[in-house]
Amino acid sequence: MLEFLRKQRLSLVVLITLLGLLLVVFRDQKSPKDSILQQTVQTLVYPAQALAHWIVTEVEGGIDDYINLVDTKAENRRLQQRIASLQEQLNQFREESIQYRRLKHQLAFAKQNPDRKVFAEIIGESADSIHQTRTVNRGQNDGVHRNLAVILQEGVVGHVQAVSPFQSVVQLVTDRRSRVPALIQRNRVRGLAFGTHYGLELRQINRRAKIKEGDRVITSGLGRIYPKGVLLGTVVEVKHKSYELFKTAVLEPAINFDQIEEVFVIIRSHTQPQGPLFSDKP
Amino acid sequence: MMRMFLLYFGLGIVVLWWHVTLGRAFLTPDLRPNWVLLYLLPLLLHRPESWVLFYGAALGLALDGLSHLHTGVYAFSFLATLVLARTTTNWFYSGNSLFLGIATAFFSLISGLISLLLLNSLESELGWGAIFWSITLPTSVLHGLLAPVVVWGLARLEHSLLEPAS
Repeated sequence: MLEFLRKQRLSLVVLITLLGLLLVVFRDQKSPKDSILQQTVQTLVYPAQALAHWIVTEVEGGIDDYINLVDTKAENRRLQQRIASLQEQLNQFREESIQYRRLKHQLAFAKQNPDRKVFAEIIGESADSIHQTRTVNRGQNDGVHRNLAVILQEGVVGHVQAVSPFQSVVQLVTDRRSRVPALIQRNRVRGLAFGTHYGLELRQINRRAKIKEGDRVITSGLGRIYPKGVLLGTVVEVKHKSYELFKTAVLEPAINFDQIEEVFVIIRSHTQPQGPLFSDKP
Repeated sequence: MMRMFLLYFGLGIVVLWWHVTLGRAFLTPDLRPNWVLLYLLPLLLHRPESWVLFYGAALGLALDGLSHLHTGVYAFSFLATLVLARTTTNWFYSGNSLFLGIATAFFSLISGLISLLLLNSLESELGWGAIFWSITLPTSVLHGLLAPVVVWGLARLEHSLLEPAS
């Protein structure tokens, strides 16, 4: 027996590890808290992610500067230097102006709403191609916890999926797992906004409901994650076959997720850390 | 031995860092390599040693911490795939670039399938079939194409860092 165990040592260790990992996977499913592993890894990776974010920003800035300078090569050296200097200044002012306008709008929006908001910068994306998440540079130390809504003035971005001390992972509304209770703003028809990875679909709409292209879809406030009345998107197509019980509307999301750089995490005064939005348990 | 440990420990961290940061900029979201798997499979085929199995599981756990909510999905699929690869490649693997590419693509597909099946049991309405055809399959082919380059890089690194200077 001992001889057998000794010979099959590696196979046994592998088998035990595989079983252990399966246990971890399904234990995690039963108690969806922020796992210590997840927190530890995210905390360890945070400096690297922040560094990469900085490098990308700097490289992009450098490339922009280079492109802007290419056109001035035909000029003489003195003018070239002068123009380059002015161009650089102009770019800087332009960038600051754009940033100022963007932040001014967002701050005005922040003042309108009584909920406390944590301003966060996006520093990373999902590590896989299946999920749609963004990493932001605010975490437990800033009062962020799971299931808080993440929005912008333009509309809903998503909700906080996991938190570590310095950063959080935001699940976008376009993620396949995302379900947001929603309303059509014009006629208050209810539906459920599903993430499709590439966009949003409002499903489970009453088949008799009148929907048309251009209708604005907002959050209904049910589910206790998203505040009521925040824009999710606009209807671009309505799908319904005669035998189907519900209508489906394809939405153009209010946010261009490739272009967002900052977000607000909404810390509602009465919000406590909650379980998932929908649960199989009664 | 110590130098080898340091080399692969460092490489593991670099690959993870690359995967979650600058590696995201390559190609479209549906055709982005899983840089960690792309590193692990050719590494196992290049060095079919038992430590690579647990090294893969550890990198999988780290990747789990950085991606989705379910700890252990990547770790399980990486370990299971590496075990399968180590067991079966002895039967047919001949060590040339063509076989390396085909084996990497095949086992990437297996790894993707295991991850998707696990995720499907955890996340309702994931639509794993569509994801398999639109993401896993093309990504696996891409892994197969890039695998010879990875092995070449690993061999060069080992040659310059592990072998004593003559």
